[in-house]
Amino acid sequence: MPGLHELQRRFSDALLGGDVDGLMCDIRPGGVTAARRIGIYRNNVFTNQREALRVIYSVIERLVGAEFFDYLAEAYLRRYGSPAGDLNRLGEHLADFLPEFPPASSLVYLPDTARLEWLVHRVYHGPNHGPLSLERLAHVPPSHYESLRFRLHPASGLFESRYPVHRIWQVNQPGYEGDECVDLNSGGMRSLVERRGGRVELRPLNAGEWAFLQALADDRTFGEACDDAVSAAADFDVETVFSGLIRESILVDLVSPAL
Amino acid sequence: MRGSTASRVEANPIPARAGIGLRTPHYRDVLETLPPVAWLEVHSENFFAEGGGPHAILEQVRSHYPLSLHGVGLSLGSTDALNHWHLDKLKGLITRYEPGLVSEHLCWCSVGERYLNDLLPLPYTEEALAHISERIAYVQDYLGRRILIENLSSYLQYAHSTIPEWEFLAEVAHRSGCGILLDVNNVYVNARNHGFDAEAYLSAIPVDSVEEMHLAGYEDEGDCLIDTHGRRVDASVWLLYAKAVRRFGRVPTLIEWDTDIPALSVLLEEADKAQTIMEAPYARVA
Repeated sequence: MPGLHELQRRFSDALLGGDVDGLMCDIRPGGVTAARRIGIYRNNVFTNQREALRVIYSVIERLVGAEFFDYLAEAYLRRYGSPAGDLNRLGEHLADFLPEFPPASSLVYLPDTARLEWLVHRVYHGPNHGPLSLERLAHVPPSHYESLRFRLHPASGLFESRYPVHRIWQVNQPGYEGDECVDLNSGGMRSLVERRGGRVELRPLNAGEWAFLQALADDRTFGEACDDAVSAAADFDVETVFSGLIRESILVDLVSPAL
Repeated sequence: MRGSTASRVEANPIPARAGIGLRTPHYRDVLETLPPVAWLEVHSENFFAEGGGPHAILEQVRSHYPLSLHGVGLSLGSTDALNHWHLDKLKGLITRYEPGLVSEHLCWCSVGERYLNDLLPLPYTEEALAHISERIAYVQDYLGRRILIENLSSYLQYAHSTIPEWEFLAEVAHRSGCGILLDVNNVYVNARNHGFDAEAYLSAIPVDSVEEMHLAGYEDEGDCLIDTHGRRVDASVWLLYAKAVRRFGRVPTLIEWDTDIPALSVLLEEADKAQTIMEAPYARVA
């Protein structure tokens, strides 16, 4: 007679493709076969988890088709499993898994697409945050500007790919009605993934904006971020870009060691 | 345990009437039409995120309806350490929304930190009884409130179980001080799948312990009934519900629908039916 822990381990092994013999012996015989009973649970578990992945990775599913997605999801679940009782936390490693999954490895843009979808998922569920108080900014003496650090909205993220993944994402959104062609050779993209009125949006960034926000996201100072931005784009207009980022609640907090 | 939080619970009591489980496809419809349903229940885990759209919706829902939180992932019966990340998320939700009822399942869903995200049955043994009762008592202390525990549908019985399911459930409530969320469909499904008398099950549950009931539809796969929450409540389950009302009196009763979710109006019709039975459990139904 197995103890509770041993029984749970055998149950999990039987469902996840390992040894089923252990659990078979623990099932009271009679009526439906033990294999059928285990099969019902296996189906429930994989269905629940696969459907959760399908919601998060809807663009990947559209790109590869429902049947291939099921196959991919099952392989992913066997490799990584689910880390939580909250299904919204399932699927974080899909972008890392795709290059290791030979049937999908020829689709070179898939891992970045998965990375973007995971970021979109995180941004969608990320914390709320109000705008940066201009009053706080007004109290900073000009001599401290250089050493200020700014925080991006917690429900946002910077995303970069050498493929036109933002186009792939956009044309595969529900309700999209424009041209569905994506030229894979049209080059890469850099964007800010942000939430506006509860919806996740992609804002394309130019080289200066990207360098500026990247530096601030890396916890570097305002002065360093300006240097980076000007090196990336000589015509970078700090005043216009910066005030826009504050106004649009992209930068929402400031840290000044001197205050 | 109830004392310190009594006023909070009373701020949002779940009426002894029929309610419905609120799922994503109906968010908009419910908020736009504000249907005359007595209360709503959501899955706690769907609101574990820190911000964004789901909370904006739940805030509005909570301002119009009494709200109950129903968890599917706490894994109370697991031999893993209790997941405090999960527990803290639940506690945060309780503080924020002040739900009238908070419930979980008599099950386990994880082992070795790996989650199966399904409601898996415990063996009905003294070891499992002591384990889950202790954990429920701990959770109630941690949350500062009583919770309800729901009986499962199951598709197997363990060879080494020594306690009938109904006795196990009643004893868990007795030892931990939790209430019971009696899922009448699950009683029916298990009675058919495992060959016991559903009415005897009801008779074994202490009258005062049942504080909520659930109703849903099952799928008959020929050799087994599967609790899919994907159909209307079966006629036999309505009859069993009428018997449950006669035994346990009027308690908040929820219509659940989780797969092939139909129009909101279908859930409201089912809730009306539950309400009718609740008011006249001796009348002919179905």
